[in-house]
This record gives sequence, structure tokens and C-alpha cells, in this order.
Amino acid sequence: MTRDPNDDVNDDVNDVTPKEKVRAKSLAQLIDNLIDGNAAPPALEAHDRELLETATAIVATLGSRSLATEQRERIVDTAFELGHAQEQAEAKDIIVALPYSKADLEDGDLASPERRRLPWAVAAVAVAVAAAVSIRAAWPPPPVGGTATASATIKKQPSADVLVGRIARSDSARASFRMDTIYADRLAAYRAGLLHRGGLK
Amino acid sequence: MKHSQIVRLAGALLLAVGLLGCDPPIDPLAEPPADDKKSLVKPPHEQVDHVDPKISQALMISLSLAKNYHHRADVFLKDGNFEQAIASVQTILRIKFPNDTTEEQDTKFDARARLGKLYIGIGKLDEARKVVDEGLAQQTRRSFFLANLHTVSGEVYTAQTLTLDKTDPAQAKELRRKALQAFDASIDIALEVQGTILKESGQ
Repeated sequence: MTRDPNDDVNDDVNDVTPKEKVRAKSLAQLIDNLIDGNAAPPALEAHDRELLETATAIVATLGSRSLATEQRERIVDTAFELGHAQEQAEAKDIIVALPYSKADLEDGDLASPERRRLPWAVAAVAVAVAAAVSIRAAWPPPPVGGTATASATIKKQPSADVLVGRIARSDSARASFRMDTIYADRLAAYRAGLLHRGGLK
Repeated sequence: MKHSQIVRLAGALLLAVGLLGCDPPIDPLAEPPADDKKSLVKPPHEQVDHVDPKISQALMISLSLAKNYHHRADVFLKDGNFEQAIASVQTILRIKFPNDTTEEQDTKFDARARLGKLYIGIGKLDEARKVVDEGLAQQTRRSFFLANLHTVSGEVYTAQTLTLDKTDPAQAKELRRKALQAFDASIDIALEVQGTILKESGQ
């Protein structure tokens, strides 16, 4: 079987290269970015784009929220561990539930670059689904009896007094420094407001 | 089965499981039923704390102008150009701010305090007195910035006594008394504001 010299997939199933891990995690990051509402990059490999489209369908149905980095990485690592488990199961003749069969393993097609990307596919889809599940966990159930009201509150910015503190006599002319402090705080709040409203109207 | 088919199948299955196992998703853009508006639980993105609506684009422009004029004054001062530095800081007093924001008074009191110190630096004590007193006359609330302006007021009085000690000792004594009053006012206001902040923060 021939393989693309540019393909970065390692031939040894048990030896996941750092490059493979980085690629898998970057794909998971892409999906996470998508969950966060960012647009997909214009240039993507066909298989990666398919994965993103699958994640998009799930996100579009269930809402939007990202996973914590630690959680996402754990899922990706778990997907790779599943790949290793398949190899070990094959040696011990144990059946492991994986998205490809023993026949697939025997016919040698699994060694193809496309099939070798399968753990990434599993990892990516698992990340998207775990994100969806986390949305459900964070989303409160509808009220029984219909008496609940919206819980949104307005976060008031700290006053300039809180930001700059008591002004020492030796600092009485340092208005420029204090202005920088106030401006930085208000700018952060303004940007947060823009993000909340979805941009400038 | 090809890789792409496996992926699509997995996605479709998971989607179906998600739809069957969960409550129907809430469309945040959809209008609630007429008889259920009071019972609607807002989706997660609407339950987070909202940003203070007073932090507007107009306020950011005003603050940005003040910041830049202060930086402009900093540059002139590095060149020893007090007149241009004063002109830059004076511009801040003419900046328009949105109504109902505390930032305007804080920013302008601080600019007046800086102007007062700049005028003292070049010996223009009458101008210093004027710019500080105009600010003190406009006070509407207690703040560290008001306290600072009282501090500068005391420094102006103190600077004025230096020239009067030899020519008019009585007047110098009176100005020293005013200077002490100004410093006391500064301390009182600062303590009051400090107490308010601590109280509000639950300490």
C-alpha cells in the first residue's frame, strides 16, 4: 500500500507521536472554538471539515458552551487509549467496542491513513458530545408550576475610588497614571459588554 | 465502510441519542408563549451578570481623550515645557462626558489637581488657586479625587504663605490656617470614602 509522503500519521498504532497528539488536540480545539461561536477556518482538510460539520449539527441543536481544557484533553487522551486497547485486545482475542471491526483489522485497511485518523474522529465527536452534555447539565430544568423568573443581574463596575484607592499626597499630581487605571477597567467592561451583545450595533 | 461514513453515522447516532435523552432545546431567539412569559427560564447566556450599561462607547471616547491628553502633558513635561503641558491638561476640563456618570467628576477633579500642582511648579499661584477652587465649588459627592483636590488646595495655600511670610505675616498665618483646614478636609473625606468602600465590601 502506498501512502502520501505528506501524511503525518504514524504507522505504529502503539506509538502515538507528539505530532499526532498535537493534531488531534488542535482538531478538538477547532471544535471547541466552533462551540464558542467562532467561524471555522476557510482552509481545512476534507476529513477535518466533515468532523466540524458533525459537531456543528450537534451544537446547533443543543446550544453553545465550551469544555474546560482539562476535560477536553482527557477525552482526547481517552480516545487514543481506546486505540491502544484495541491492539491489546486483538493479541488476547478480547472483543472491545470500537467503531471498527476485527475484520477491518485483518483486511489491512485499518493501516490506511484515513482509517488511522479514526481515533481523532472519535476524540473530536466525543468532545462535541461531552460539550453538549455539559450544556444540558448547566441548563436548569423548566420550572414546575410556572413561577420562576429570570435571574439576570447587572454587574456594576467598581467605582474609580475602589480602583485607585486613597491618593497619597506624594501622588496628588499622578492623574495620568490613575487615568490609565480607570480607562483599562472601563475598557475591559466595555469589551465584555460588546461580546455579550454580540458586537457593535 | 469508509471513514467519512463512519463519522457521519456516529454523528447522526449521537445526535439522535441527544435529542431523545434530553429535554427539547430552548431557542433563545424564539418568543415565549403568550401565557408562559412569566415562567420562562432564560437560557444560560442570558443568566450571566450583565455588564454595567453605563459603560458606553461615548464614555470610552471621553475617557480615552482624557487619558491621551494626560499622556500628551507627560511628554511636554519631559521636555520641560510646562505651558504646553498645562494647555493639554486644561483641555481635559472641556471634554464632554455622558450624563449620569461619576467618571466625569473624578476625571476632571484629578485634572484640576494636576493643574494646581503644575501652576505651583511654575509659581502661578493665583491660577492654581482658581483652578482648584472652581473644582471644589462643583463637588456633588465624596470621593478620593475630591479629597486629593483638597490636598492640592492645602498645598497652594502653603505655597502662598512662603511669599507672604516676609511681607504680610498676618495674611501668611491666615493662609496657613486655611491650608490646615484643607488638609483636614482631605483626611476626613478620604476616611469617609474608605469607610464606605469597606462597608460595601463587607469588611
